[in-house]
Amino acid sequence: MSTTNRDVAKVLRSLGANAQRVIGLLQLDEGWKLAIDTAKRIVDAAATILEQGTNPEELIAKLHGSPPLRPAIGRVRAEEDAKIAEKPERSPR
Amino acid sequence: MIRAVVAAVTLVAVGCGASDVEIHARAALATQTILEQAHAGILEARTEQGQAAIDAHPDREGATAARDAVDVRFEPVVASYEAVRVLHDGWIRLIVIASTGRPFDIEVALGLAHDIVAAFAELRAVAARIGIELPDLGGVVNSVIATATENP
Repeated sequence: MSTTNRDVAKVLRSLGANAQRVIGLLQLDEGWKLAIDTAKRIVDAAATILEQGTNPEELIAKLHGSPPLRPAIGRVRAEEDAKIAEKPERSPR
Repeated sequence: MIRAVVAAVTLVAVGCGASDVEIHARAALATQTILEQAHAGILEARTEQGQAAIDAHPDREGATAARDAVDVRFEPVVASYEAVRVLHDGWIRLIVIASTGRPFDIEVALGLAHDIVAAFAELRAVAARIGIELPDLGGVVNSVIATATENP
């Protein structure tokens, strides 16, 4: 990885971290929070891409695929089921 | 912005005289990063919306129905994500096999790259319908396709 790429990645990570601090300082609403979180994720992805190695073997070793979504949502649903079970069967009238 | 950065990274690989396998490995790795970010973003939105649905209903029946409705809204996004993931896994397998010294089928690899771009565009569109913003993947894979076409 060249020094330039590393420097740019560092700046991008710093930008993302500062954007998240702004949410706390300005007590922004949910819409702004979501927008800034999304921007941070994109900036972090760009930084990760810039930090990739240049050696072909190193690149290929990092290829493991992306995680499946259904099992992760299944785990969220299991946690939700526990919360739902704490509620009364029907709302008191 | 991510599009420009990714395109720049891909061009760096080309400028260094990278092989077809290396260019595809770099693009597949960039795609993997974007897919991981998409996974995190979708899961976070699903968790938040599920929690909000449950909180909005004091009783079990209402909370269950509202939470299940969230999953119905998310199903096209989940199905699209899984479709991209399966295609990406196929791309990786092709690259890994080629890295062991076996011939690299560039036509199949480019076809997969095309399919991943199209499938991710679909994922991006269905995610936007429920308020989830995802980055544009097209810049990454299109750079690879253009490079491979210009330098066969």
